[in-house]
Amino acid sequence: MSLARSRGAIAGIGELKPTRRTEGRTTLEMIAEVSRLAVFDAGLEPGHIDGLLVGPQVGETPQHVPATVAEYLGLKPDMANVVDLGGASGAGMVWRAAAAIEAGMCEAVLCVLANTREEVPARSPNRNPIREFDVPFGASGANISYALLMQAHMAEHGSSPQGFAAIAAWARANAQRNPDAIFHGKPASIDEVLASPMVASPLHLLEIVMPVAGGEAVVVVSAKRARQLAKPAVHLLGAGEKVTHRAVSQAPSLTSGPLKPAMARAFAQSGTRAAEMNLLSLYDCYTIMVAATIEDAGLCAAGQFGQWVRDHDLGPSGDAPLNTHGGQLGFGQPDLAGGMTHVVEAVRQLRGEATGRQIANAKLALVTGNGATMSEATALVLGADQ
Amino acid sequence: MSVDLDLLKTPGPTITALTAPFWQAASEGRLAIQSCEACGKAVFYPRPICPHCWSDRLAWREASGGGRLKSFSAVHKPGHPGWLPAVPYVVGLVELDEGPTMLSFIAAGEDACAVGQSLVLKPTRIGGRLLPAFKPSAMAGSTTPNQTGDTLMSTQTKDGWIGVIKGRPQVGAFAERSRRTRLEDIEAFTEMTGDRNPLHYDKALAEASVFGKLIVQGGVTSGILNALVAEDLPGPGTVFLEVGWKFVKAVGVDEMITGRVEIKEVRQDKPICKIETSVRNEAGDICLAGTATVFTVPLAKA
Ligand SMILES: [Zn+2]
Repeated sequence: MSLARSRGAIAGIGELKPTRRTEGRTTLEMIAEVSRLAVFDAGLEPGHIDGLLVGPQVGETPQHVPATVAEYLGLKPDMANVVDLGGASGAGMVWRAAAAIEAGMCEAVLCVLANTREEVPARSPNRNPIREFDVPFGASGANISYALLMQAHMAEHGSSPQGFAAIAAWARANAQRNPDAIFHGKPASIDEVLASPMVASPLHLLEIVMPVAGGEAVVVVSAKRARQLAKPAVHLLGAGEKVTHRAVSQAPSLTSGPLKPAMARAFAQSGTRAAEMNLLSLYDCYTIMVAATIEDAGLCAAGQFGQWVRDHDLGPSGDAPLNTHGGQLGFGQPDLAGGMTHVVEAVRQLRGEATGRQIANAKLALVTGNGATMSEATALVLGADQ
Repeated sequence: MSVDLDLLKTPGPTITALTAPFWQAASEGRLAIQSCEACGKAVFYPRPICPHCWSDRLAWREASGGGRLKSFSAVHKPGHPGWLPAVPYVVGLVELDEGPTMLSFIAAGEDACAVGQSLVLKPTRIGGRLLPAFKPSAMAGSTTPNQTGDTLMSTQTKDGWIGVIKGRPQVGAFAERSRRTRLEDIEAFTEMTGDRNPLHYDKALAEASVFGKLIVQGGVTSGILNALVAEDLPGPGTVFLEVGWKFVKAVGVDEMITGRVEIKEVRQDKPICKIETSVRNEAGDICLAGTATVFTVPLAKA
């Protein structure tokens, strides 16, 4: 029998002895124990693991499951995912891990599933470390976490409230060219942003996205197939991903995030540089997120985003178009679909379909995604069909 | 802020057996964090394995209580309505002297906070419980209405656990140990004690009895608890002073049993603790349940 080319290999296994009850234990604890068995079985060290596939709802945490698990295990993976295929999840993880390795995203993927079983199920489904160690001290929700990041940036670099507010003002300005934006017809000046109520110092209300309902979708096919279809193809030229933590207290840095290595990989895969981008489609849940991304992309030195924003025109006809749809700060944040607005706008611009706000001769776009507290990062370099 | 934080209806921690020592210490006005015995690094928040080297040898240690303020925020619009009466209040990221960072309540006004400043532990009653909050160390000595921890910190008596190999255990700490019972256990126990009860030897008779099977002597079942206290928790040097056990269900031959001990009370002045004990079978049924008092002889060489 002749074997097909190997598409990947399983190098280590771990298994916990089944028990009827796990009273008082958490899924995260079980995951830690079985992961340790598998990684050591492979003769690897935790530092070798750069990919992570987990099941849904583990760690009694409804969202950000891979980041919660990665932080718990002290991992900082370059690829992380939930595989939610019921009983097919385990097998489903194996080919996805191999595909991610073949795509050049990572080299060693931990695929882990575990569960607890209690006589009386826990009263609250949320039993993750943030719920236990942050919430009792008065820190619930993303606003406070991003306020802490912003305060740290101001302390480390002396960045000014005006610099952050300028990002919100630009988002509002660009939203005036997008009739669909929630803030269409409602521009806001830097002074108006700074005069809005303080939510958690130093973060003002108008520096935070407005939650809205919405939806976004894209269809991905092969490059060959795309060229046979109706619309101009928009190509994925490079990608990068990085997950460093879940809770803000566990962030390796408060002023530079996982987008830095994620963007570096995306630029390297695509053979491009940040300065070559015709569109910066940057995830903007808060003004601080855009500030950190501008610096992490290498568009300016660390701490210099305020000067960079002052020196550039971020509108569609400017020298550094940034979030031409208004960003989420101007468009609104339809929950998780908010991140996809940055992909959809990049495709519009690269197809030449951004009516009323088209960037002339748009060839390259940088798209970033960000999750939790500058914790989960994905960067894409997209290119127009040549 | 003039509001009594203790009266706030704020959410408390979701404590598990693993994290209980942290919260027990907190309730005594102390800060306990884990320390990895393999790589030497301090670990926060509590985990079953070290996030740096994945060793499972983690020990609880008293933190110095000192730290540095990495960032802070005065919260005007809290994420939980229970905090509304206290706004604006300050939360901060505290880099502990031991290395890890924790988020905590900063018992000071925003104007008294600066990134980079030194902090000291300031146990503070919030929402009906004593929590490990911090305050700027420059403020040390000043008093606020919530200052309850400082007095607790100073009432420590002589440490009776000096010289104990595994040190003083924490309330809430537990250990488990499993083994499969064998026919040889019955024979060894008989050899030791002379107990030749037919329930342990006469298969036909035993199967016709209420037990329906050959069963091991109770001493074989409870013996796993001897191993647990002497090997795991509180560890080498431990002997039973008093036990109160109910043998709820008989254990047969070739059954996997799991013993469990959990620390319920710890004396500070003497190496004595009260523990909860149980032995379960493979199906999870309780076979033995009860409590015990143990004494741990200090055996560590100075
Ligand atoms: Zn370690």
